[in-house]
Amino acid sequence: MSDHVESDAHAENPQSCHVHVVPVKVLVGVFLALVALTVVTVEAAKFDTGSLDVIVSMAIATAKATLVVFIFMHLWYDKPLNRLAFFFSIVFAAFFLCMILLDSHAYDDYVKGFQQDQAAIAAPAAAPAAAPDATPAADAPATDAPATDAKAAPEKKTEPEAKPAEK
Amino acid sequence: MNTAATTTTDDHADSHDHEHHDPRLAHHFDSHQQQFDTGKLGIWLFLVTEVLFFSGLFGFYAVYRSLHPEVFLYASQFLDTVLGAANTVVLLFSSLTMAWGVRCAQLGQTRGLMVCLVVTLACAAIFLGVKSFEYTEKAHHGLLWAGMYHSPEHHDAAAADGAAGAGDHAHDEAAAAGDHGDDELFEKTKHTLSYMTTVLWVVIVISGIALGLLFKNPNKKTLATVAGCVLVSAAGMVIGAYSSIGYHHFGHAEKPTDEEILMAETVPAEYAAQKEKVPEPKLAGTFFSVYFCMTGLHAIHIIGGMIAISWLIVRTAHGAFTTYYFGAVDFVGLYWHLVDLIWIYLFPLLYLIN
Repeated sequence: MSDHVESDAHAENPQSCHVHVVPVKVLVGVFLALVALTVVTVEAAKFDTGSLDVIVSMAIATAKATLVVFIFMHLWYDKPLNRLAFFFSIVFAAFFLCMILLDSHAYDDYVKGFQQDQAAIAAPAAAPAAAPDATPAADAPATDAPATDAKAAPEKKTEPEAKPAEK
Repeated sequence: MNTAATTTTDDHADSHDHEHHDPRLAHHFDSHQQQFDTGKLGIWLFLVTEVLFFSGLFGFYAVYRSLHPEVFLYASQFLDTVLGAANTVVLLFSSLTMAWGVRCAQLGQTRGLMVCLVVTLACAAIFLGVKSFEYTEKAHHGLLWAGMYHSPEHHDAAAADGAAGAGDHAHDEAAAAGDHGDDELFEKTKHTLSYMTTVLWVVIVISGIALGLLFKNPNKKTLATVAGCVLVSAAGMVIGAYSSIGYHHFGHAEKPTDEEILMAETVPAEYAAQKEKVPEPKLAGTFFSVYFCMTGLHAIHIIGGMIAISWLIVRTAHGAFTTYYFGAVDFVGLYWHLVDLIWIYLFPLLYLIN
């Protein structure tokens, strides 16, 4: 309700609306910076930097987004409430992305086991014999790496079907 | 607290009604400042929902890319970086003109506002024109979403399934002639696009005639402005489609010639081995599912933005906006910048995968 008090202050002259007007120079400057950053990101993508690639291009995209949000969208000069609203939407979007990435990678070991199991089926051998030992291994799949995976494979084979159904 | 506020507001508005009613100020607002601030908070909340809306698709992308990076590595080579970058610049420019238009509106420069809005609308249409070229080209290459995807590797799968003779023939031909198939597909793409441009030319002629007839008539201002908006949109799309065809022509005449020279110099078997460098992953079609979902939703937002900008142009023609009433321009501008913002992220995520 402090807004109401604030608008009362302008009430003597209701035909006024005080906002920040961005100068043309700043607008054109931001546009040129955005184009320059676009060129940079296209050129940077031509170098093979491996896994850094995504990070670099996302960093440049975020720099561009920051310019657009703060200058073109006036958020720099805007009310704290609007800034807060947008900030939290970004935070929650990031949170959302992190959570689904975490979730989808939680099953990596099951998938790996399933794939190895498929390979084992192609070459049918000792896999069924080792099945009874596999029960504890399936509970801690992250710790037992390649050594026990072949043994745990038949147990894990059932897991990928069971787990998504539970969700 | 609320009741107290509303009663004072009502009194205030009523007194206004009797003296001089301001049609630009809604009854439930004290002042233009309050009306503007309220609207702005509203549009920011809408943008928040938009961000969360798109974050679902970004999640789709993130999960899929983290699980199958090779699919993205393979499939993004079929996207034309130059067209994507050109579209980025067009969209950034439209953002500039939109921001400039907001500035003009704030300062009460109606003519400047009109010019900025028309340029923004034209840029949006150019973006769609280029996009329609890209979509058509992909459709002809069989690069569609997962269910409709056909391998661009000269239909190896078809050869394996049973149409062995035809598939092998295609494979041999492709290995021997290289870009011959691409040429044919480009002709097909042009042919399909010619339908679109024909329709657009008809629209241009009709809306041009309508604009010419209605321009002088002060009673038909709205219709005339709508005709003008349609004219600008259609013209922009035609420009976008033709310029991307022109770019493809130009690129085609230059780049593959070098490749062909190289190919003629190298032994064919070696060349074929070079081409096999990036093997086609099984799930390549899913990349195009992501691609069409994300760019398609973005394109729908562009169309929505174009409608909103046309509405602004009509209102500007009626002189609706003044130094104290420009909220609508600002709010549509914010929406437009958000659409630009999403493209800023989409471009590197889809086109620039190395």
